[in-house]
Amino acid sequence: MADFSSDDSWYMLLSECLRLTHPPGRHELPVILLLGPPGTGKTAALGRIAAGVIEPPSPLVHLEFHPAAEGSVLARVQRLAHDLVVLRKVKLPRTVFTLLVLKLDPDLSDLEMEEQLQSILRGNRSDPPIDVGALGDMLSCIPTVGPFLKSAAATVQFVTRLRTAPDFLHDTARSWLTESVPGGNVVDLARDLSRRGRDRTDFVSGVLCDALLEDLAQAWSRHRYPRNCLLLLDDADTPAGDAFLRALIAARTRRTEPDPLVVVVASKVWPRALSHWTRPGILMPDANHPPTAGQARHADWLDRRGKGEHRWWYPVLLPALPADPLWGSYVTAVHELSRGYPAATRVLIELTEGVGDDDEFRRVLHEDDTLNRLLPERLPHRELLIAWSAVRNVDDAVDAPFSGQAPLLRDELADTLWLTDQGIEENETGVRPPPGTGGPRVTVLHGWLRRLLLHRLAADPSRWDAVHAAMEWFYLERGQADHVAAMYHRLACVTGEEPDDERLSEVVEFLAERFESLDRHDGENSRLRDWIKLYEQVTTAPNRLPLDRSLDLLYDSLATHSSDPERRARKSVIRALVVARWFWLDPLLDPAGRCTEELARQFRELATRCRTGRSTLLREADRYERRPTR
Amino acid sequence: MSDVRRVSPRIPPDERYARRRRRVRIGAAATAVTLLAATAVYFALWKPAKLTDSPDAFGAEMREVMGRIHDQNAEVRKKNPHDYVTIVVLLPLSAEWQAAGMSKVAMEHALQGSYLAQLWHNTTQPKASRVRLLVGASGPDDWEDTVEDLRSRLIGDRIAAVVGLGASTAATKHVITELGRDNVAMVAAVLTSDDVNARHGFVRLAPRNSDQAVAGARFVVDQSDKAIKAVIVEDTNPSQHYSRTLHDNYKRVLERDKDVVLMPGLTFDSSNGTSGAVLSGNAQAICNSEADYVFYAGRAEQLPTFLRGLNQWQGCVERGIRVIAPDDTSELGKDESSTWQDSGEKIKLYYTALAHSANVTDPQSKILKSVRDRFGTAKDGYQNLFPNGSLDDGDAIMHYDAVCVAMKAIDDLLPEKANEGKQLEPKHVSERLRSGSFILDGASGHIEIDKYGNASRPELPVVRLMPNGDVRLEKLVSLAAR
Repeated sequence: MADFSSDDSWYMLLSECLRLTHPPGRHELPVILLLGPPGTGKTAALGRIAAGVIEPPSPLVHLEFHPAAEGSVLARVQRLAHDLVVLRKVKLPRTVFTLLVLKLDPDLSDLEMEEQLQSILRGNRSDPPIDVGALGDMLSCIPTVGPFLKSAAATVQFVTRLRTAPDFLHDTARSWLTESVPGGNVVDLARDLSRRGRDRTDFVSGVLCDALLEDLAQAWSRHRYPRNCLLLLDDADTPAGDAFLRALIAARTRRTEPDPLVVVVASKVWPRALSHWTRPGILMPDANHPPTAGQARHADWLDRRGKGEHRWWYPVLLPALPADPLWGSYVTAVHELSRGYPAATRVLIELTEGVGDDDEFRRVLHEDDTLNRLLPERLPHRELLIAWSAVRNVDDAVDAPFSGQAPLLRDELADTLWLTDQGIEENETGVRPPPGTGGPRVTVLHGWLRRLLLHRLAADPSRWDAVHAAMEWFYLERGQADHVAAMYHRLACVTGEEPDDERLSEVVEFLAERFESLDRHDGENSRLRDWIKLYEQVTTAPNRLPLDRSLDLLYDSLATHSSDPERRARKSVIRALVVARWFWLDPLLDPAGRCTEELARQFRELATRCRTGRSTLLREADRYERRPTR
Repeated sequence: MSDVRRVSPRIPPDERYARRRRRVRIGAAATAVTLLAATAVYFALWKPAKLTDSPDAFGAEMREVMGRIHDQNAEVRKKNPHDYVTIVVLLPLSAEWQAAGMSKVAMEHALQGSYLAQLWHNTTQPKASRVRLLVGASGPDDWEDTVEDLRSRLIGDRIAAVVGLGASTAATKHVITELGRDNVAMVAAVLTSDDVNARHGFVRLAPRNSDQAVAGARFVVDQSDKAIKAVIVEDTNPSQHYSRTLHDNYKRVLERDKDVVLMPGLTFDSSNGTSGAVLSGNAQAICNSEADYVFYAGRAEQLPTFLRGLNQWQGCVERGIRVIAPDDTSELGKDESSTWQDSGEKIKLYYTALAHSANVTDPQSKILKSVRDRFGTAKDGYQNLFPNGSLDDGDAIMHYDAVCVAMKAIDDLLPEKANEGKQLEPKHVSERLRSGSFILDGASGHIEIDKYGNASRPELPVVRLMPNGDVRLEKLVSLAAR
C-alpha cells in the first residue's frame, strides 16, 4: 500500500531550527504550528519528525492532548520532564525540585513542609513522607548515590562539613526557586497551587515553565546534544493544550536569553492566539497567510513574525498530497476528486485499486457510498454549508438569499481550516492557471469538502434544484444581472433523466445566442475568445448526475438532441461541447479524461460554422488534444 | 501501488556537534590504539610469575591441594608478614606422564605431602619461622622460565630451598644444574638417576637406581635356588636418564652375579609412537625364549602394555615369568589402563619402592608415632585432609620428607642468622644439607645425608603389584655389601 503519510515538506524548516545549537542561547526558535483539518496527516508528520532525530538521538518529547483529557499545566510539565529526565537523560534540577515542592502537603506548617522536603531530598525515597508518584523516577536528576557512597558522603560531610554534589544541586535549584517566588519561601508555592485561586495557579504554571526553560538552557549550554530539544504536541487544540502552550510561550517571552526548545504543535483549528497571522481563505489587504510546510523557513519566520508573545508562533499549512503514479491507473481521477486531501486519497486509492474501466470506477464509489460516509460529522451550520456547496465561491455564498448566518459560518470555517482561496480565473473556468499566476482571488471551500457537500445536496434533488434556482434568481436579480452565473446554476440542474432536457436546451440556447453575437471582429481579433470564456464559466457547474448509470448512455442522452441527431446545426455542436466539458471537468463523469478528444473534435466542427475566429477555435481544439489538466 | 513505506528523512546533527564527535572518536581511537600498543609491549616484555600458590594455576586436578597451600600461605603472610621463609616445590606439573616421568596423580600426592609438612610445621613449631610454599612447573617446556623466575625472587620472596624437583628426566637435570650454579639448596624427593649427583646444594632422599638394581637383583637371586635366566628390557628414550641408568645398573649387577644367565637385552623407545607394538614384540621374544626373569628399565607408563603382551603368549603363561621393575611402578593406579589380566598368577610384577605406605600406617612400623599420626585420620592428618588421596605410590611420603628435610636445615640455621640480623639465603641451607651430619627421622624412615648429598638407606622394600592394582610388601632387601 502506498504510504500516504509520508509528507516530508517540513524537513527544511525542522532541519534549520533543530540545528541552530551554536552559540547556545543565541537563536530564537519558533513554536511551529502544523495546521490542517482532520485527515491532513498532522499526526503522521509528527511521527516522521520524531523518527528524523533518532540518529544520533537527541532529546525529544512527544505529548498528545486527547480532546476528552483534562490536565493541568503542572501535569503536562511533569510528563514532559519525566520523558526528558528518565528517557532522554537530560538533567532538569530546577523543574524536578519545583515539582517536588508542589507535592508537599499545603496544610502543614512551613517547618513541617521543609522537613518533608528534606526527607525526600536526603534520599528517603523508599518510604517517602508524601506520595511522590511518578516524580520518584525523576529524583535521580537530584542524584542518588547508592547506600555505600551515601553513608560515605554522610560521614565525610559530618566530619569535614564538606558540601556534597547533591547539596550543590539542591542549592542550585532551591536558590533559583527562592528568587522566583515572591517572599522567597519556596514551600509557599504548594499553597499557591491548592488554595489561592486561579491567578496563583497561573503563577505556579509560569514558575514551572520558567524552571523548565532555564534547565534546558543550562543543559544545552554544554554542547552535549546533537540538536535542539524537540517538543511535539499532538491535538494541541484542546483546553489543556492551549493552557500549556500559553504558559510556555509566556515563560519564553519572560526570558532574556533564548532557550533551545523547538516546539511543533499539530492543530486542526486556528488558535486564537495567532492574531498576527491571517487565516487561510481570508482575503484582505496586507494579509499574512501562513506558508505551506515546504515553503516555511526559519528566516521567513524571523521576517514575518509578530511582536511580544505573538512573535513565537509560526503557523504552517500541511500541503495537499501530490499525485503519485504509483497509486494506480486512476491516479489522476482520484487526485482530482480528493484534491490531494490525504485521508480521502487513502480511502479512494484503496477502494479503486484494480478497477478496469470508468463505469467500474463509478460503480465502486457508488456501492461504497464513499462520498456520503466520508462527510465530516462535525461541521459548523452543516445544512447551510451543504447549500453553500452549490455556490461557486464563498464570497457569493455569503450573499446568497439563504445565508442568514453567513458571516459567522465563514469565520467558523476559517477557524476549522476548511477555507482556502483560489484565483478568480480558476474559480470561473475550472482550469488551474500555471503556478505563480497572480490576479484577484476569491475564498472557496476546500475542494474535497465541497465535493462531499455537493454529493449530500444531490441526495435531495428537490433541495438541489431549489438551491440552484435560488442562486440563479440571485444572479439575475442583483444590481447587474449575471446571466452566465445564472446559466451555471441552470446547467447544474440538468439530470438527463428525461430526453431533451429543457434546462440543457436553455443553456445551449443561451450560449448559441452569445456565439452569434460574438462571432465578429473587435479590431483585428475575433470576439469568440470571449465566448469561450462564457462557455467555460457555464460548464464548470456541478452536477447531480447519478453514479450508477452507464457513462456512455448518460453522455449520449445529453450530448445529442433528438431533433438533430447528426449535429448539423451549430447549436447541436455547442450542445455537444457543453456536455463534453461539463463531463470532462468532473472526475466522476470522465475519470480517464477522455472527453478532451470530443472537445477537440467539436471545436473543429464549430470552427467550420463560424464567420470569424476560426483560428481561435482551432487553437482551442489543439489545446484539448494535448489533454490539459483539469 | 507501492508497498514500501518511505523512511523518514534523518535530520543530521549540528555540524559542530558532528565535528566534536569526530574529534572525540579520533581521540578515543588514538587512546585505544595507544593502550593496545602499551598493553602489547607490556605483555611482550612481561612474563607471568611461574612460582605461585594460585589454586587455579595448575588445573582442576591440583585445585584442592593448591587451594590449601594458598590458604596456609595467606595465613602465614597475615600472621607473620616479616618472619617467614619460602620453600619452592618444583614438579613437572605442565608435562604429560611420558615427558614428566610422573603421573598427575603422583604429582598431586607430592603436593599433598608437601602441604602436610608445611601445615604441621607451621602449627606445631611455635618458635620456628613460618614456612610458605610456592609451587612451580619444571616440565620440559617451562623449566627455564621457572628457574629464571625463581632466581629473580630468591631474596624478595625469602626463598630458602627448593624441594621435589620431579623424576629423573633431562629437564630435571637442567634445573638442578642451573640452580646448582647459584648454590641453591635442593632436596630431591623421588629422583633416583645415578648421573645426577654431586651438584652444589643438591641432596636426594630417594635411593639411586644402582641401589634399586642391587635390591632387585638380590631379591631375585635370593628367591631362587638355581641359576636364573634374565633379560633386560630397556627404554632408549634419550630424555630418560632414569631408564638408561637403571639399565646400566641392572646390567652391571646381573653380569657380576654367577647365578644369573643374562640373555641379550631388548629395547623400545617410549618417545616413539610405535613403542606399544615394539613392546608386544619384545614380550613375544621373551616368551619364546627360556627367560624366567625380566628386568624392566623404563617408565611405568608402558609397563601394563608389556605385561599384557607377556600374558598373550603361551610360553610365559605356562612356565610363568617374573618382572622386576623400578620404583615408579608405584604410580600405576587401579584404573583399566594401568592393570593387566593374569588369571593364573603366572605373570608376577615386583618393584623396588621408595617408601611404602606401611611405613606410616602400620602400628608396628619403626617410624615415629608422631610422624605416623600426621598421615592418619586426625584433624590435620593426611587421610582426613585428603580422603581421596593415596600413600601407596610413596610420593606423598617422600615429598613430606623432602619439605621436612629443608625445614629442619632452615630451622637449624635461623637462630644464628637472626642473631646476625641477616636474611637466610639458599646457599646457607645448602651448606647445612651437605655438611655430612644431617639426620632426620622422616616418614620414609631414618634419613642420613652424606656430604655428597645422598641419603644413605640400609634396605629397600620390594613390593609386589597385583594385576588388580593391590600392593603387597614382599621383602626388605638389604643394600649392605656382601
